[in-house]
This record gives sequence, structure tokens and C-alpha cells, in this order.
Amino acid sequence: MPVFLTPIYLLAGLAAVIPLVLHLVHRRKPRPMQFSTLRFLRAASVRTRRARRLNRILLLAMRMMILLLLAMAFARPMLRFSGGLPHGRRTVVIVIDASASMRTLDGGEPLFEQARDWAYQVLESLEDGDRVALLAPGAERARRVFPPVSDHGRARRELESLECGFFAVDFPGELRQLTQDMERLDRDAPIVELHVFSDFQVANWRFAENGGLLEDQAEKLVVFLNRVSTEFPVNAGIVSANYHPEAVVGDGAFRVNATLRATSGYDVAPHVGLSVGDEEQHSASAALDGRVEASVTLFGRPNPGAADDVHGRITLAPDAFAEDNIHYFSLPRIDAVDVAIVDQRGGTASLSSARTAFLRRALHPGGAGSTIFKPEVLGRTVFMNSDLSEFSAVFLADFSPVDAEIVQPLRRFVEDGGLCFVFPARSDDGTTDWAMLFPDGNAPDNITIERLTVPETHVLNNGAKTTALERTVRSILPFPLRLTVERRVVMHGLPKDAVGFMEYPDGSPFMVEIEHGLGRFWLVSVAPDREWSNWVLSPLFVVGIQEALRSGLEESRGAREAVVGRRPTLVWPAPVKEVSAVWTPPDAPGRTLILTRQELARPFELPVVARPGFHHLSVGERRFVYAVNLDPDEMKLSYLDDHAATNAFGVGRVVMSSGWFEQEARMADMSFGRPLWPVLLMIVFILALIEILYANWLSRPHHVPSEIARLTGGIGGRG
Amino acid sequence: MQDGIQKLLSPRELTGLRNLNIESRFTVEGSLQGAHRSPTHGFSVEFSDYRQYVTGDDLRHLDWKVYARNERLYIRQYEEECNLRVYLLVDGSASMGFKGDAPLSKYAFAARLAAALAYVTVQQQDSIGLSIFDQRTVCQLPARGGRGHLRQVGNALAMHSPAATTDLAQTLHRLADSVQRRALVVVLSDLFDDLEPIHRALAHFRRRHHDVIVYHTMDPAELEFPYDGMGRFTDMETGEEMLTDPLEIQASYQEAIAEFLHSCRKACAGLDVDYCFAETVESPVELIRRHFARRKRR
Repeated sequence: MPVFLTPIYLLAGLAAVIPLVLHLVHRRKPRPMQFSTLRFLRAASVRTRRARRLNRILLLAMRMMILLLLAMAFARPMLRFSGGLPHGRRTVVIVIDASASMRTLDGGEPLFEQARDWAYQVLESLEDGDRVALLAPGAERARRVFPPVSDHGRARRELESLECGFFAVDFPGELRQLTQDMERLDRDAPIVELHVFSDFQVANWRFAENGGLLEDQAEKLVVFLNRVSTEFPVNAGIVSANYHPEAVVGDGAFRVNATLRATSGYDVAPHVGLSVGDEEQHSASAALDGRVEASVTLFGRPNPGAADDVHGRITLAPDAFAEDNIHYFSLPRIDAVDVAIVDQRGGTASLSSARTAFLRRALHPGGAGSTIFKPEVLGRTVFMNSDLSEFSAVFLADFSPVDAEIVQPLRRFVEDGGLCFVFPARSDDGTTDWAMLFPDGNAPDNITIERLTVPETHVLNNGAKTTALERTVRSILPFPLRLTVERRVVMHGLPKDAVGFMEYPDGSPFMVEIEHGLGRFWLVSVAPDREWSNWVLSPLFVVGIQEALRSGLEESRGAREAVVGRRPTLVWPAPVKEVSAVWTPPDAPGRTLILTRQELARPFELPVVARPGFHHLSVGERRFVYAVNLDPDEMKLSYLDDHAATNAFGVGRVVMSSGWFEQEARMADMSFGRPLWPVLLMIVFILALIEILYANWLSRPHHVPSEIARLTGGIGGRG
Repeated sequence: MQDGIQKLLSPRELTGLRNLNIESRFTVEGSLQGAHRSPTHGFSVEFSDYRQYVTGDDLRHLDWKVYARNERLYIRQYEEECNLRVYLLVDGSASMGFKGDAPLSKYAFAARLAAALAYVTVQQQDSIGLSIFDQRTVCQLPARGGRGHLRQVGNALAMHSPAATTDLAQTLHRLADSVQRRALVVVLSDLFDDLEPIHRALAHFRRRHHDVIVYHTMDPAELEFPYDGMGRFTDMETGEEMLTDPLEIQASYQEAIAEFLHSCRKACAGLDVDYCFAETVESPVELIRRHFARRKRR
């Protein structure tokens, strides 16, 4: 049923009777005329009576309709469809994207500000009695006004005070939760208008493209997708950085490989700078022009005399999205990672031992300054008399027998967080008494030594559970990995918590990691020499040793980098389950926290970091600096297109707009319906055209019957 | 002062009629000039006129009394020698008084046409008779020759005013009974009556071996019906009225008129009646000229 916005003009429809009145008046005043005979007039009249009546009715009807439709058009009818907005009190939920990507500048103004201005317009459109809720996923406190309230001023104040956050957002999850909460808290609302202001960054709308989002609320929801985004996003950012070494040893230098990513329109080769503290120490040019990804290598060193962790920034010239142009880093500063290589012969014999040499090469593949590992070769006697707490890892290169004398200190060492790599000894004659290391039965059930008369080449596969270490090694080395083996330790019946690293075709692991206390044992199936296999000559030797050692040490030292929205961790070796700490985010005052953990083996979890930058943690005398960076997904600036965004919802009424005026017009359509006047005017035009043509056709010169034409044009007649 | 035919035809028109001859298609014998054989003999033959003797005339018909008086030789003419008797039957009903945009009403035109025919007939020394009728015979003049008679015919035509209804068929039947001898019967009418009785009446004439010409007289407005705007039409004979919009029925009216004309022509053709359509905007002289030429070609 149409609604008339200016119904007063319907009175003009009374003019539709004018043609009828004229028709009637005209009929009553005919001219009197004498005619010779009415005989033929009557005959003609009878023949044409029906047609004449029809013509008269048609013309009259057309003329009346034209006037009537014109009057209706002036009355501005609007036709509402079933999918329209109901009249009456509105319940409006404003969801404004406050994720990091909304800080992108568009024409010098952040997208978030554009969204906020637009949201103000929606607020202004509310009338007394309408209710409004305000949510800002991505901001530190997402639910600002919820459930919906009638106090529009409160919503406005919350909107004014809103700041764009740095988080990535799971919009599908947020919206599902929101609608479920709405259903629970506000069953009376017949229709809920959901106004989503977002740039529709793909990373924040993951799984939305599967469709069906909110379809269980389809009847109650009208979704307005209000897109704010740059038309031509041109951006480059630093997505990741790798450090070599990953901890600064003393005043040693370090190398950074930074990976940059750019949007397709980025066509310059920007300069990338590395600063430690406030000092820019190195810069280089990144070959990003015309490419999507590039890497750059930078070098740095700690500031002299500085005692804290080495922290600094990798920077890129600001662009539309400046937040990904700074990458913060924090490298632990350590003296070195002391590693003991134990050879039972000791003395110079140990130093000259092939096994020792190979292991030293694995720990220093590029020379002494290339890694944080500082190996020391110890004989059995020295080892037995050493304070193992000085070492972070112990390599039992050649140690036999494994007796109680060696077992006790080793077990204590590992229990306190150390790493112990156990290789088969030279004197192994068929068994390896590794079970001694695990008196509590946490050793493989069956350990034998296989000796081959003819060397065999094995292709190593991933273990039953692909571990992070295996993934790391696979990312470095080309696969498949082949080893030619003469002797090997075959292990079966592994303990429940043991984790294998690579395995032979028969399922026996190449290396096994077994946790013990705070540390772990690594049992290796081949010795670090050429008598057992060609392992020491393959890249797997260096990579395997380095990565296994690194992964163990990282877990024991703790990472100093985190991503916005996650919880950094503090690895705390002391056997306590609770510590007091002071946590200081950037540009904010510090606050005291009580950190707790359920297990001693697990690190303490810190608060969720809400913004990038350096977050400082003080625990007793210890000071830690955490470098927090944006979630790399927020840097992609890849957006859902309109079609994908609209189809993500299983709701029938989804309206996509690019600005307030467009949205306002669409809302007016949905409230009042579609304007009918263009249709009416078109009908009037067509009717008028038909009436003119029809009337002209009726009054056209008729074909004169041939009988008359012949008589009036030929012999016996005229002319 | 104009009198007779001169009231209806101008001197110029009369001059244009001088060389025309009206002939009957069926009484060819005895129409040779000066050599008339009458199919009838005896005292019932009526004296009609004198003419000068020419070599070869039958001396039995020499009028000696005239010779004695004037010493000129004249031959007595009898009716059977003027064996072409032309009877003009002119419809004088009210419908013939209709005048559209043409200069003359249908009756006025028919009267001029009749006058022209009468003049031609008398010119060629034949007899002309006249009947003016509506629902009855209003005026009847026997078939005679001579200028005096011609004058009477002209006056009678000029004096009549169309009025009353028409009963064309009945009148034609009566006239068919009254015309005893073979003659040329010329009907000047709009034929606005039932066609079947008219057809029977014309057949009556044909059964009596008369040659019949029908001049179907109509006004252009009756053919085209060129009116617009609502009109209250009044029948000139019956006085009945009808309200109609001419534009709405014009095409259909023309079809009805065309059918009527076709029926008339067909009816006449079936009886071997010479049908000639005469539109009132035409010149009677030209009309007669074309018509006679067509008759000669047949």
C-alpha cells in the first residue's frame, strides 16, 4: 500500500472528472442539420455503435487517468516493500571498527575519523525513544554502550572519547556474540539496525566470505555495511625481522634481516633505517619498486655501557598507514651461551677428537662471532668437577659408560633447565646404557645398536607428530633428507611425552627429545663422526644442532617480542609460582601486577598488549623490555569487495553504502519505500502519447470505398 | 423575362446542347431523319407538325391546304414519325431538396438536367413528356414536341418545390401503366427508397419495352458525409431526428452509401437499364454529352 508524502495534492485528482463533464456537456449541444435521409446514417450508426462506445470510453478513461495520475505523482507516493524498516521506535547498534588498519590515512584523515563522523550522522538521525548501542571492536574497551539505551547523549560522549586501537579484530565472531547477546538481553526489539562502519579488511573478516553470518537472526536484523576505505591503498610496512644472533652477546654486533611487504601500487625503493636507542646506526634501500615483498639486511650493535636489553627500531618513511612503518625489537643481552662438549678422554685428545671438532663447527658454523654459543670442550674428569650451572647445554660427545657418577649431575643439570645432547659412545658394543639417565623409567623401552656391513642410505621423514623444529628445519633445508648410515641406535617404545625429530623408514626416530624437569634430553641415533654416518658432512648436522639448541634456549630464555592483542610471557627459572612485577606500557604509567602460574615449567603470562612500542617489565632487580608490533595481518590492507561483504551475511536486508548521503537515501527508501512518482510520470507520458496517437488515428482520413471513388473520380461523376 | 427552359439553362448551355442527339437503344427503326415508318397506321395516328418538303418525301402527306395558302410545300408529320417519345420522370420529394456544399440542390440539378434533355429531344423533333412526383404525381405533361410544349416543361420544372415524402416505386408503376407506346423513359431521382420495389417498377417499364435511363442524382455531401462535431440530423422527408458524431460514423456511412450505389447500379444493369450517376456539382451539359457518347459506343 503506497504512502503519500504530500497527500494534499490528491485533491487535484478531482480534475479527472473534467473530461467526463466536457464529454457530457458536449453531447447535449449538437448542431442541428437537415439531411436528405437518415437511412444510411442509421445503418452506419448501428454498425459502429460498439466501436464508437469503446473508443469514447477508452479516450475518456485515458484522459481521466492522465489527470488522476498527475495528481497522484504530485502527492509523492512511496511504495514500501516487505523488506523495509518498520515505523516506530528504532533499535540501532553502531559497530565501529577500531582496528589498527582504520588508522590508514585517506586524504590526510584517518579512516577511523571518517567512520566516527559518519556514526555521528546516524546518531543525529535518531528520534526520542529510539535506542542505541555502541561497540568499537579493536579498541581497548570494545563495548562502550551496551545494551542499547535511550540516552543518546551518552552514546555521543562515548563516541567522542573513542580512540582507534591497534588490535586485529575477528568481526564475524564479534558480531555473532553481539547478536546472541542482543537476543538474550533485548527480545522486545522487533527489528535491530546493525550499522557496521569498517574498512572490511580481509584479515578482520576471515571466514565471513563463507556466508551465512548472522543468518539465525535474519528476521530481526537490518544490516548497514558502511564502508570507509582508501580507494587506492598504497602502503609498505615491515612485517617481520630475524636477528642473528638472536641475543646480543656482550657488546657484539647483530644482524637484522627485515622483511617488507608493499601493496601493488607501491613503486619506490624506500630507505630502511635501524636505530638502537635513539641512535640511527645503519640504513639501506629496500628493492620494493614494483615488487610486493623484499628483504633488507641491517647491522647494529648495543650502545656502549648500556646494561639493558638491546632494543631499537627498524623504520621506514611514513606513508598512508604509518603504524607498520616502525618495527620494534628487543634482544636479550647475554654474555654468551656456554655449551659444554664432553669427551671422556679429556685433555688434548679430547680437543683433537673428530667428534669434538665436528660439534664445534656445528656451534660456530661461521666462526666464533657468528652465534651466541660458546663451546668448551671438557674431559670426563673436568666435567665431573665443573659447576654445570655455568652451561646452558651439554653435548655428551663420547661418554661411556654412563654410570651413576655422571648420571646424577646430568639429571640435576637438566632438571634445572639445561639441555643435554646424548650421542652414542665409541665404546658402545651393542647397547647404550641410556636407560641409566632415566631411573624413573622415562626412557625408550628398547635401545639397540644396528651395525651394517654395507652402509645403507635412508630417507628421513617427519615424525609422527610434526614439530615446530621439524617445520623450521624443512624451511631451511631442501627435502628429502638422505643419510648414509653404517651404524645407528635404534629406539622403540618411546616414552609417552617423548617427541621424535625425523624418523627412519622403519619408524625409529633420528633424535628424541625427552623432557626432564625444566630441561630436556636429546637422544641422537648417530654419533657426530664419520664412522657412524655421513651426517656430520650434511647440512642437517649444523642446522639440526643449531635449531634444536636454539629452540630449547628460546623456551628457557623467553621471547622479547610480542604482537598487539596477545599476551607476552616471562620465563622465570626460579621455582616460584607468584611474583610481583611492575608493567609499564608506552606512554602510560606503570602499574604493579601479581603474576601467577599453575606450573613451574610454564612461563608467567603478562597482560594483553594493546599498542605497539616498548613495554617495560620490572621484576625485582631484573628489567625486561618487550618489543610489541602490529599483527602482520593488519598491514595487508586487502579489503573485501562489496559483493563479498554483502554476501557474507545470511540476512536478507543488507545495505552497503560508501557515505552518509547514500546511506540516508537508502534508509529513506526502506522507511518510506521507493518513490513512485517517476513511474507515475512515465505512465502519464505513455498514456498521453497513446491518447494523442489514438485520437489522431481515429480522426485520420478514411479509405474512401472504391465505389464512391470511382463515381466521384471517373466517368459520370466529378472530374 | 426568362421563360421555360431559359429559367433553367443559360443560352451558352443551350448552344452546347444543339448538336446532341438523344436516341433510344431499342426503337432504332424509324428514327432515320425524314424517313420515319410508323409501326402503326390509321386514324389513330395523330398529326403532330409540319415540315418542309424535301425530295423523296411521300407525296401522300403533302399538305395541299398549306400549299394553296402559301404556295410552299410542307409535309404533315404524324406522331409515329417522331417515334422517339421521351418521358422525363423527375423526383420532386423532399429529399431532392437537399443541398450540401454544392451550388444547387439535387432537385434544382435534376431540373436542369431534365430541361437539357427536354431541349435536346425537342431539338431533334421528338416528343417530350414530363412527370414530377413525390408520393403522388404532382405534375404531368404528355409527350409532345414543339417549342410551346418545351416551354411548358421548363416552367413546370422551374416552379416545383421539393416537398413531402416519396413513394418512388408506386409512382413508377403508375407511370409505366400510363405510357402506352414504346418510349425512352428517363428517371431523375436520388432513389432514396426501398430498392426492391424500385427494381420491380423499372422492370415494369422494361417489360413494356421501354428504354430506361436512370440519372441517379446525389449531392457530394451525401457521398462523403464531411461533417464534424456532434450533430442533430433531421430527415427532410420524415422529420425524424438522430444525434450522432459524424466523424465517428463517416467511414461506416461511406461504406453504406457505397453499398447502396453498387446495389442500384447492379439492379439497373440486371434490367438493362442505363444507369448514370449524376453528382450535383457537375455541369448538366457535360454530363449529358459524356453520357450520350457512352451510349453511342455501346
